Amino acid sequence: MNESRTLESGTIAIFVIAISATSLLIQSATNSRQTILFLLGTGLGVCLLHAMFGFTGGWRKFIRNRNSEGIRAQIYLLILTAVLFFPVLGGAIEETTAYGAVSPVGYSVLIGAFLFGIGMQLGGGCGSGTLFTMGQGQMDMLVTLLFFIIGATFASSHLNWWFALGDMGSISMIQLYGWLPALLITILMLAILYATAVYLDKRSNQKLDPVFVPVGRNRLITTLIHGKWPLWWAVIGVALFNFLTLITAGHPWSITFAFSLWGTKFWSAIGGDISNWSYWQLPYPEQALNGSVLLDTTSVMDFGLIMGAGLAAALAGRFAPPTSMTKTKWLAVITGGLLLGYGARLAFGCNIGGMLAGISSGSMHGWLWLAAAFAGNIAGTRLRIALRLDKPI
Amino acid sequence: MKHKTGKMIMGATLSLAAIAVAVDHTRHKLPTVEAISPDDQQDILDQGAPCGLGAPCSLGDDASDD
Repeated sequence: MNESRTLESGTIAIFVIAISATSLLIQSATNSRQTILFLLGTGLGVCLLHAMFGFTGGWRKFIRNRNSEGIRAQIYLLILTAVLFFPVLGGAIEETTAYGAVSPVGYSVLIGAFLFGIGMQLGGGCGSGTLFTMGQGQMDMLVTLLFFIIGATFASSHLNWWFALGDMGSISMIQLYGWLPALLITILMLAILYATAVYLDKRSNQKLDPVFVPVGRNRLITTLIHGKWPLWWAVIGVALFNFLTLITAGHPWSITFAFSLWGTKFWSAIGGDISNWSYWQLPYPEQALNGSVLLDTTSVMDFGLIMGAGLAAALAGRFAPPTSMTKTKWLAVITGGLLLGYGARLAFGCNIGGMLAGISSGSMHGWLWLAAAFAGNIAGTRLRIALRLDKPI
Repeated sequence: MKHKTGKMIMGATLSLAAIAVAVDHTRHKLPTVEAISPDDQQDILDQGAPCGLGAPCSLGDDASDD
């Protein structure tokens, strides 16, 4: 027991040193903006890990048992983020320049999000979930992340083929109706989803699992440092850190662009030919590819998220939990990782950059992402049963 | 997989990632080295400066430039 405590103290110390050293390195090599984004990523990692706030588990529990606890927490997150984002993106706050995640509504989003949904269930995580559980030291998620990167890189090699399939163009509700009516429409649509989830939950279960679980005053500090947080703490934390990201970076929090960037950089470094990968000739991707990885906002935030989750896991005494890998599980995490990466690139992002950022920016592609990914999650849940990773429903 | 093995794999992975980031950063953003003329070199040697071309003489100045 004493040895275990000493080891966890050592892990905490290592993560504190790593986070401090990386902050100083980013500050000296780039600028304060990148350092702040790295620290925001760290904060997001702590929030997600301490509350174990994942999208995949919440969706699976709803599909299998109609338990809507996770779904309702995600809807609260979407509403709170939209309330914070819409006035800024609608120009209601002067002297703040920020751009929403507004992307075309097309086949690439439909197919990409569906594939991503299957990948969520097979890989055992979404964009944020893969990163924070990998930061926690879960070995299976390390494999998922590796193949996530490979999938995203492969998709970026021929992305324009998918874009050429056609789309309806970008549809921004903020541009169409103004930020306040657009916000009210968004909240109304989310309220309908919420009511549907509650109705289905109550029909199958005797009572709803509460999202707003109170924490006693005498346990407040201990819970804050060591977890486990109630879901609503993570909702508030993630929404605030996402808002600060919007203000600092000028765009919402996103994750998976960095994965294709890392993979393409690696492929290029070992002599791979990327000259006909036209995606990397677009302005920002080209700039990111030809610059230091520390200048890419998604990369520094991802580094922060992994380290923040690692620190939180060490504080909670849950770092590197024992994992068992069977042949079927290997197959699932490899396939899942590839689908996650490939799907995210097609769909203009994962559950964070595609769905959360899209819906909170008033973009219709975010709603299409949600519908397609949910259908993919249903298929993925069935596949898990077929592979005997889960019991039949 | 046991707790300790998991920790070791995580440590190795994060170390490799750190090395990869360092390699990438230096590939794309090499430090600027100011050219020193032979006359300047002689001046430095004449003044008995405790550093040569391979050692930093003015870390404080460099830091303040950042």
